[in-house]
Amino acid sequence: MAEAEMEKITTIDPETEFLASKRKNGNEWETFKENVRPLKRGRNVNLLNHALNSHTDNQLKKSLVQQRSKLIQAIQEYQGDDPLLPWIQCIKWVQEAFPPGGDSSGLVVIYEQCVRAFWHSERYKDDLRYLKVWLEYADNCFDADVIYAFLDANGIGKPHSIFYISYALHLESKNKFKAANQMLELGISRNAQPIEKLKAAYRQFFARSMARPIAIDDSVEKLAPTRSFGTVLAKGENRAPLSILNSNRDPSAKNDRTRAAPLSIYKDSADTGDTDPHKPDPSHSWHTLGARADRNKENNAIPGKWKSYKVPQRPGTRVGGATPSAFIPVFVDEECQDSQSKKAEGCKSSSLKIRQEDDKELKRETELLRKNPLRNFPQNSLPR
Amino acid sequence: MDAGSLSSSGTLKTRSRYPLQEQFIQRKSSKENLDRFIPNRSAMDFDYAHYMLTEGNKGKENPDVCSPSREAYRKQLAESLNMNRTRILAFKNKPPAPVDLIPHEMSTHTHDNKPAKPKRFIPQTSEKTLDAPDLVDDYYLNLLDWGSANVLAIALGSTVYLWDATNGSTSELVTVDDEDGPVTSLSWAPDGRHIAVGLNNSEVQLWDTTSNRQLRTLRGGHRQRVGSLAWNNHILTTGGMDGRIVNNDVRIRSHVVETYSGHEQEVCGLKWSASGSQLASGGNDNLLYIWDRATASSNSATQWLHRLEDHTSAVKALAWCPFQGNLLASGGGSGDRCIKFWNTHTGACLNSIDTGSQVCSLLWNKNERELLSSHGFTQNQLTLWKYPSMVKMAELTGHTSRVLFMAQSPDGCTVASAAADETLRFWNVFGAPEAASKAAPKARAEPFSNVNRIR
Repeated sequence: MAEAEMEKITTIDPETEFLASKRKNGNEWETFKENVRPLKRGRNVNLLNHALNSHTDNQLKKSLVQQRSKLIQAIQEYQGDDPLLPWIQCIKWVQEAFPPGGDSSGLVVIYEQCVRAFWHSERYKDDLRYLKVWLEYADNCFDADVIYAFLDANGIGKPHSIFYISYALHLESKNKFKAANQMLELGISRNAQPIEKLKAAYRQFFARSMARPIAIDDSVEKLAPTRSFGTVLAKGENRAPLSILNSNRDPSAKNDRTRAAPLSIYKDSADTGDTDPHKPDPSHSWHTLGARADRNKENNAIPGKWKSYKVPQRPGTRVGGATPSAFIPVFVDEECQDSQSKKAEGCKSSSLKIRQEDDKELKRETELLRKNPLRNFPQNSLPR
Repeated sequence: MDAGSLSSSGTLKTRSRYPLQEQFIQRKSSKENLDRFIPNRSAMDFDYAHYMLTEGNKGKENPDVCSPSREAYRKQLAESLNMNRTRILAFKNKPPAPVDLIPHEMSTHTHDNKPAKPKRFIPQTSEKTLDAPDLVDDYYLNLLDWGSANVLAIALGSTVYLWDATNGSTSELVTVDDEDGPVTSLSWAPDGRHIAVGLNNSEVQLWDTTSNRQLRTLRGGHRQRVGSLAWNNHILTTGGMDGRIVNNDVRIRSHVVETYSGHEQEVCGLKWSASGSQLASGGNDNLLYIWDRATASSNSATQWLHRLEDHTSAVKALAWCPFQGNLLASGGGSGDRCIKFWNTHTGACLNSIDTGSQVCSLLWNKNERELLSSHGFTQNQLTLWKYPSMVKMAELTGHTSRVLFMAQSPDGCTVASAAADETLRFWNVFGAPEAASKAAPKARAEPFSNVNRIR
């Protein structure tokens, strides 16, 4: 093992020196700036340039993949007091080392495994780092509603205002303004920390809601004829969060809008008591909602075979298309030989198939997780 | 004497009556419009003169007959009143008439517009999703193209696959070495038979897809990878990472016929106009160049026709308007996020729309005035815009990573999109008008075929 590492180091060093001799440091960022996914906390420029070198260097790309597998092994071999720490380190490193942030980085799979490993643990329910992993996982999935409902049902992230702000922003992006309002009020009533941040978000939400009615009318008129299916889904989804929340809160929301001023509402102890027995109910609704969505989306989204699809062209345009197909005579090189290219094709296609199979597994798993973020949770399976 | 006195008293009475009328008329005219006072005066004076003369003559000639004279008086009075009224009416009627006409015209226009342009249904989901494993996740490449023979070419890693959309058959064209690969660009020739393959080692290979044979390799034009290709009949234009743009004549041995220098970084967008006289190139240096084939060859201070600096990020998405020859749409990267429209003759920016996310590719609808854009980070959607109002008609979601490449079918109805999530999706986003009315598209197809014939 040590010898292999030494060999890799020796091979990498002359290449970096060779690259440094030609270019100055920081050039890779400028050259490949469009392949960098922006991160909220920003990026380490040195790590970014190092990662972007993988575009031109295949060996560096392999070393990145190996480094990722090492970090994953470190998670399994951790013996310390804080088992969440190696997960956090691995996630941060992958975000830095794979700037495009696509499926090939495996980040969604790592998110899912991390959240699945500790969701039943009382120790990390109130941990801010664990909540942030959940929120980033939600950002990468289609049905983030399921994740937020799951967090609310299991009491994960209750004391933190980030949970309520993220949930409200997500609901607002789906035009569920009443539910977003209720969620922010719930956070304030629970005195989530930091409370000033939550109240500021609530004021901003209210300012946005004041300017909204005109936009709502316009958007409804424009989108209604082209997105009838979407509106039906939206109506269906609206029922679930309403059932979770108490019906008493609806008139308070209306009063707030009419008065046009933020109103802090004191929640009775009876209301807080009512929320506790509601916990099992959303779990049931969660199961049913997830099952239906999964079936539909899986049927639509799983990529099919290439031979199963055809796009026949219209006869009218064929006539048009035929005329510009005047033959273009191309000068043929003397060097080109058919036999060599054919032999080369035969050899390499087999190797490509092996690679494709590996990539397919990772990609399919990522796809399934995007569709059903909590697919593996009912089984309570352990991390792989 | 008595008769004379009677006649004189009658004339006096009539005179006294007329001045009152004159006063009323003057007041009305003064209230309405002072400018019209003078013509009214002249008109009234003439009339009164005539009436007085006729009344005097009749009175003298027929003193005995009282009833006919009275009748004559009445008639004259009626005539004078009528004439006065007509004049007054004439002045009053003019102003309100045009006011009434305008709203009627507007209402008729609105009624005509609505039934003439019904909104067509745009399916929100992709018709089909195909697997595209090992597709390179790189914004600067061009790995997808749909030829005029209805064959789709896509590069997956170091392999180029050909998918015949007519019968769904798939074949592997070429797999390059790891040293030369991966494939960095693809472009079909206008004949739909030859295809150009750009590689990471700065070479460009030309293949004959009917016989699956490599015809030649273009070397020496670039020093780094060739990320963009564009055909102009027998001229293949290549754009490289070294910022150079090379025109290659594929018919002759010495293929380099012209070189355009101007970009400082990678050329990631390259498109010839429909007429073949202008070339648009976008680069990673946030610049958009317009090269005129005639101007570039002449000895001028600068080789380019226009150098456009409005974009604040890499310019890759380029699309020439099919119904307006000198109109170009360009899309900026993640730092810019705008779609801009340019008049390529004057170099003026006509419009700029902030789409909110990285613009990866642009396509014009050949039948309607619409523009389709594919986007990257955060939402990974395809957006259909109505030109020139730039209103969003549809947002197509389904891709889970950046929608890097788009290609349009030869009939212009189907769009294929390839994304970093390694899927290839087909959208029936332009196809509705032909499906809706069978007769109309036939009529539409004919003039377009004529245009193609001219080409």
